[in-house]
This record gives sequence, C-alpha cells and structure tokens, in this order.
Amino acid sequence: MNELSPRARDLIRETRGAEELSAEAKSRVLDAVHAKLATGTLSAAMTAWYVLGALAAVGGAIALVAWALSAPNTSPRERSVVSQVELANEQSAPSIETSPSEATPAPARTTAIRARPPASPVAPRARDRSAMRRATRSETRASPAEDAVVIESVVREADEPPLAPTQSVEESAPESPVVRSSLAEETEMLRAAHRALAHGAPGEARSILEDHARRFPDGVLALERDATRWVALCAIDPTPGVVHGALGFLRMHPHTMHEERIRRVCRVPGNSL
Amino acid sequence: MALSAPMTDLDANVAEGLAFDDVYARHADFVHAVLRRLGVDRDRSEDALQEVFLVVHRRLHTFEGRAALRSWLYGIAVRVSRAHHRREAFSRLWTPLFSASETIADDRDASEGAERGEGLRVLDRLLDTMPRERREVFVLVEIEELTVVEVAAIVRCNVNTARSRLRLARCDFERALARHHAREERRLR
Repeated sequence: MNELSPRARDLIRETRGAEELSAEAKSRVLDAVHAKLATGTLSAAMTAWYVLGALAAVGGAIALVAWALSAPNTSPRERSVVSQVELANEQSAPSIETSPSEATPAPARTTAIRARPPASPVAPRARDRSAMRRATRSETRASPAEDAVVIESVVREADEPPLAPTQSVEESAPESPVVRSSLAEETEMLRAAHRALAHGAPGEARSILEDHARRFPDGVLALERDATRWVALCAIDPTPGVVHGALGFLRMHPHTMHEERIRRVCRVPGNSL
Repeated sequence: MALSAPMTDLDANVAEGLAFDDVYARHADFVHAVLRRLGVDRDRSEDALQEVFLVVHRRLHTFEGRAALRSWLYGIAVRVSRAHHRREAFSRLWTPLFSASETIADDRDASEGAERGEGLRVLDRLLDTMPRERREVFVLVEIEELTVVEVAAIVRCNVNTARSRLRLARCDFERALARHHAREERRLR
C-alpha cells in the first residue's frame, strides 16, 4: 500500500495540534529538568567519592591479605616463643660463646645448660619441634653414624633452655625435671639403637627401639624411632611385609631425612611411592 | 501548534551553540506530541519529556548541525519511547499481582477519554494495533511528515526496511480504521 486512504488522512489531519502541552506543564517539566541536572551534578560528585572510598577499601583489604599471606606461617603462640627465644639468645650469647658446647660431648653440655636460667615446661616442646623441623629440612645424610650426628644436633637444640611465650627471661618458671629427664632418656636410647645398627646388631637396635616405643609412645623423638625401627627391621630380614610397612612409612612421611637410608636398606625403588 | 512546524532559524545556528532553554521552549510541544503518538501514556508523558530534554542537555554540545535539530530530537524521542515501552513491558509482568493498580489505570483511561479529543483517542487506539517498529515509521512519516530516508536514519535501519515497515504500517492502520468504522456503524444502528 503506497498511500493512505482519504479517510485515514482526514483523521490524521484533524488530530494535528489537538494535543498541546500546557504552559504550566511545560514550566514544570523544565524545572524538573533543571533540578535533575543539579542533583545529577551532585550525585556525580558523590558517586566519584563513593568510588574513591570503595577503591581505598579494596586496596586496604588487598594490602591486609598480602600482609597476612607474607607473614610467617606460624601460630601467634609460636611466633611469641620464637621472639622470646631470640631475645633470650641475645641476652645469653656470652655464656654460649664461652661454653664448649660445640666440641664437648653431651654430658658436659648438659651440665653447662643446667647452669642457665630455668624455663617453663610448656616451651621446650615447641622449641623441640622447631628444632626437629630444622634438622629434618637440613639433613640428607644416610649412614647410621651420620644419623647419630643428626640426632645429636636435634637433641642439642632441643636441650637448649627455651622460654615461656608470655614471660621474660627473669620471670620464666623453673623447667620440669620430668620433661628434661625423659628427653635425655629418649636421646640416650636412640643413640644406643644407632650404635647397635652401626655395629651390625639390628636385633639389639630393634629391641631398644621397641623399649623406647613402650616407654615413650608419643615421645619427642617418636618419628626418629619409627624411621630407625624400619631400618632395623629391614636390616634383620627384608620380607615383603616389612618392605611394605617401610613403604607405608615413607608415604606418610615423604620428606623424612631417613628416606634415602630406608630405601637403600629396605631396597625400595625410588618411584614406588 | 502544528506537529510538523517548519524548521526554525535555530536549526541553522546550531553550530554556534544553542541555549538549552530556547531549544526547550521551541520544541517541547512537538516532542511531547511525538512521544504520545509513539505510545507513551499521558500520565508518563511528562516524565518521558523530561528524559528527552535531559539527554538534550547532556548532548547539545555534541550536536554538529549536520542534520536538522528536529531530526535529532526525533531520534532522542524514539529512543526514550523505546525505553519507556521496555519498562512498561517489565512492569506488566507484575500487573497480575496488583489488580488494584489495574483498576486505577482503567479509571484514568476513562477520565482521559472524556477530556481528550475523540479524534486523538481514535488515532491512538489505531496506532496501538501496530507493532512498535511499524508505528515509529508510520508516525514519523505520516504524522510528522519526515521523508523515509530521514526516518531510516532516525530509527537506525535500512531505507528499504523503513519503506517496508511503512507499507505494512499503512495496511495495519487502514485495517484498524475499517474495523473502527464498522464498530461505530454497528453501535449507531
């Protein structure tokens, strides 16, 4: 259809101009436009401030998260212990330097240590664990003699007098003799087991270690004991059951410093985990 | 005031900068009429007019005068009416939940019909039968007397598409008008 009918044209013609906006409505709309433009400017400024505030908040949150992630992965208690120990080390540095700790055997060392200020019974455990962790990370040796040295260093570090997390050096409580004596006993038993292994007596080592397991089932050196026990068992008779058990131990403790030694003695292949 | 008033001298001087209030004073009436013909309700027409002139205020400095100011205003009015229809369609989704508001709308239509001219009421009813795209082209060509090329630029479509829409819109309009007359004759009998 190219054109409208005359009837339709008439209708359109007669409606032209039939609807006008009243002057009052026109001025009302104009006022509304001006008001909206004014509030629009204000709201644009407010929006800019809101955006800036939101950006600052997001930036702060990101900085907080970054700080939290970059902080050492330790609990507040551990951080407190570490800081206290560092402070104590600084204060007791002369006595350490003058003591013949690095060259003398353990008993002499123990004597020197006992002359130091006493510490609370809570801290030694945390300190022992951190010493164990450090030793585990740094050590890669495999022979029984070397293991004995490792355990020696672990025990030496563990024997150092730690400090209570909330007390200063002067205020720290006296150390529990039970904890100290048990740690010394554990150390002595493991040393004996390693000596037996080094002298080709794995059966004796095994009995010492089982005795240790009975007396200190959750001892500080329990992991050391278990690792050495698998070495001793494999040295006695590397049956498939024993090798399987050693493999299970390595699976549970993939980063143990005894891994290489257990693999060698138990003949566990490197890719079997 | 005629809906298609001749171009003012403002159109010729747009490049030199236009005063917003002048533009409003000269064109508010026809923009309002266009909005109404494009299907914006009477009670929402002032809001729509306000929206159009807010856009005009924001964009007036970008108007380069390549086209007539009226064509530019038509374009804005068309887009504002489309936004209005979208909002209407959305609000209609909730209408069944609020039957009271429907009743109020019916009352308003009745009073509106009483105060408005019969011809306008009929025209709007006939235009309401068309799809939106056809209605836009029909209003701009047949009522506002723009050329199809101008309308194609305003509604942003191909010229041939605009022609096709116009042809179909005319058919729709004629059919609706015939139905209206038939109803009127039945009523008078």
